This record gives sequence, structure tokens and C-alpha cells, in this order.
Amino acid sequence: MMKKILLTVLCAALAGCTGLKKAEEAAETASPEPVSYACRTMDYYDYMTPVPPSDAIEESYYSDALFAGDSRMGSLYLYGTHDNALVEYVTSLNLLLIDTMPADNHDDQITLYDILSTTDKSNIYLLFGINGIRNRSFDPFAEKLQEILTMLRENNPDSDIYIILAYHPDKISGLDEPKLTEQLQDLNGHLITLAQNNYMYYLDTDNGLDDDQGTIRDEYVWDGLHFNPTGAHAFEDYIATHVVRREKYVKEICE
Amino acid sequence: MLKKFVSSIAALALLAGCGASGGGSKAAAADQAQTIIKDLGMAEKLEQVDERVIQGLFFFDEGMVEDASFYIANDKSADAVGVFKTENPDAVAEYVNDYLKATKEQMKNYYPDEVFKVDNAVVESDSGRVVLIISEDIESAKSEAKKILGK
Repeated sequence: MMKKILLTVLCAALAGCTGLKKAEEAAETASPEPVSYACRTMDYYDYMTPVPPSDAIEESYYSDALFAGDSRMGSLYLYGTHDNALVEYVTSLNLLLIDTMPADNHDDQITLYDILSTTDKSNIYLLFGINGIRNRSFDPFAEKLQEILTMLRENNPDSDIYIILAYHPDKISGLDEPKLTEQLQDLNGHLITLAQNNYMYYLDTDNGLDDDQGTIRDEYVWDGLHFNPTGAHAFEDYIATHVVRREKYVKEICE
Repeated sequence: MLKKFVSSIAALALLAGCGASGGGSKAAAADQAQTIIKDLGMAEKLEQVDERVIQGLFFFDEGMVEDASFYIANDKSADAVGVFKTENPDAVAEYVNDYLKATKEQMKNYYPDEVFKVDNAVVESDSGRVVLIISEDIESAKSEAKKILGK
């Protein structure tokens, strides 16, 4: 019996030694290939949802920011507190005529399209669409905006582009409720689709600047649509606290 | 016989001549729009827009307009000139009037001084064309529209 046990232990020891030796041999004979990893950049941002609240952005951010749009954006030009930000707008802008209508505050007939096509800003905000709110369809508007977004992305591949949805005004002349709400939903639906399709961010200012009726707060606008100084500052605060910090969402994954 | 033939040729030539001028119904919409702009002295402030923009401003149904030319102000005024060739002038005129309604609302908010031009916009039509003119010189615009339509 004792002999049997000794034999078993001896075999096991031999087997162990042989196995170790095989592993050592394999290590010695294997070619010394370096360990390689495939890395790729992953963007975890959810483009299907509006930009979530964030900590307020630092002031230097505005030096590299362009705010472009219609007269609603003009409120930032008139009452904005960030002197280092570039604000360009066209009063009564019909987006289809963005390359025809001259930009406000310029004497040289420059258009907003000219400005957008030459900008090198890293943070671009766009606010368009309210002047077409009476349109039978937003398809031509969306087609034109897509053309602009494509141009911006080609010229500024690393820029963050924010599309601002149309906030619900108290009133629009010649467009009563519920038609106004239906038209706004249609317009904003197009804007959200464009943001998603182009991997751009969108801001839903109705969730923050609205009252219990779901329209822009009375104290923010002087005519139901355009911001007064209080409204412009609230609009600024909303923008400052809804910034996507790319480092939070974009990661390099190596495998 | 020869006399009759020559008269017919002469009549055809005259008709063809009319068609080639700015006033004939066969002239291209662009030619007629340019004639209006030139006659009314609006060349400096108007710019032609492309077909896609025309569709985005007026929302004509597919096939509603055979040929169109539209010029719009480059100075934010309401000034505009349009010629639309169509087999259905009543329907096209309705869409043009919708454009005027929307433009008026815009102007009321931003450029109220322009509202009178929109209120007095000329929309004239015949069996195959609709002409739109928005101009400060309302009487000249009316005469020009009639001239273009051969009225």
C-alpha cells in the first residue's frame, strides 16, 4: 500500500516537472511579439436627449463662442453680459434667405451665411426657425439647416455645435393656439432630428425658462417673444449651465 | 395664293416676335421678372432666389408651377417681384396671397413701415401667369403688371 502511494507521488512529481519544463520551453521558443492593443474613441453622449444641466462654464469659454440666429439671439447682443462672445443675428430672418438677408450691425451687406462659413469658433450656438413658424411645412427649412450644419461640420470638425430649440412664446401675431403649439412641435421635431442625425447637441430652453403654462415666463419677454434684459440674462444662465464637457463623455477604449 | 401665304407668314412672324418680348405669355418667367425689375428701377435692391427657395417660401403643390422667377429684397424691406407660369392661376394666386399674409405679420413685428407695401402688393394674373410685385410705387407696379400680362 505504502509502495503504491510513493509511486503515485513520484509520478505526480515527474508530471509536474515535465509540465513546467514544457511551459518553459514554450516561453523560450515563442517569438517575442509585443503586446498590442486596439484603441478607439467612444462617445457616450446621448444625442437623443437635450443637453443635461452642468456646472456653470468658465468665462473664457465665451471667447471661443459664436451665437448665431434670428432676433431672439439678438437679445444677447443687446443685453448679454459676456463681452468676449460673438453674437451675430438677422432680424426677421427667414432661414431660406440666410445668404441674401444682411446681418444686423454690419454695414457691408455681409450675411449670416458668410459669417458661419468663415467662423473658426469652437462653441457654436444656433437659434433659427421662429420666423417660419407660419409655414405650411418645415421641410424646406430643415433642408436648408442641414446644408448649413454640413458646411459647419466640414469647416469645423472639432467644434461643439448646439442647436437651440424654439421656446414657446406667449404669442405670435397671426397664429393662435392650438395652432401655435402644433407648429412649434413640428419645428422642434425637425430641429431635434437634425441634431441627432448630425451628432450635435440640442438645448431645450422650455425646460427652465417656461412658466406653469409651458410658455416663456412673462417677466423674461417684452412682447411675448423677444427677451428683455432679465430674460436675456436667464437665457445666458441656461446656456452656461447646459454645456457638454466632452471629456466626460468621450473616452479612449483600448482592448 | 402667294399673297395669302405671305400674309400668314407675316402674321406668324409678328406673333413669334410678341412671344419673344418681355410682354408675351411664352416668354420665360425669368425674362418677364427682369423686365419688371428694370422698368420699375428695382435692380439694385433685389436678388434672384433659386427654385428651392421659391418652393420654401410659397409651398406650391407639386406641378402647380411650370416656370417661376422670384426676386426678393436684399435690404430687409418687403420689396419683391415674382412671375409664376401655371395652368392654375387661381390656386397659385391663393398661395401667393398666403405668402403675403405671412410677410405682413413679419413686417408688422419688425418693420412696420413696410406693411403698407404688402397691403398694396400687386397680384395680377391671366390664364397662364401670376405676377407679384411688392413695391413702394404702387401705381407703377400695377401698370407694369398689366403691361406684362398684355392687359
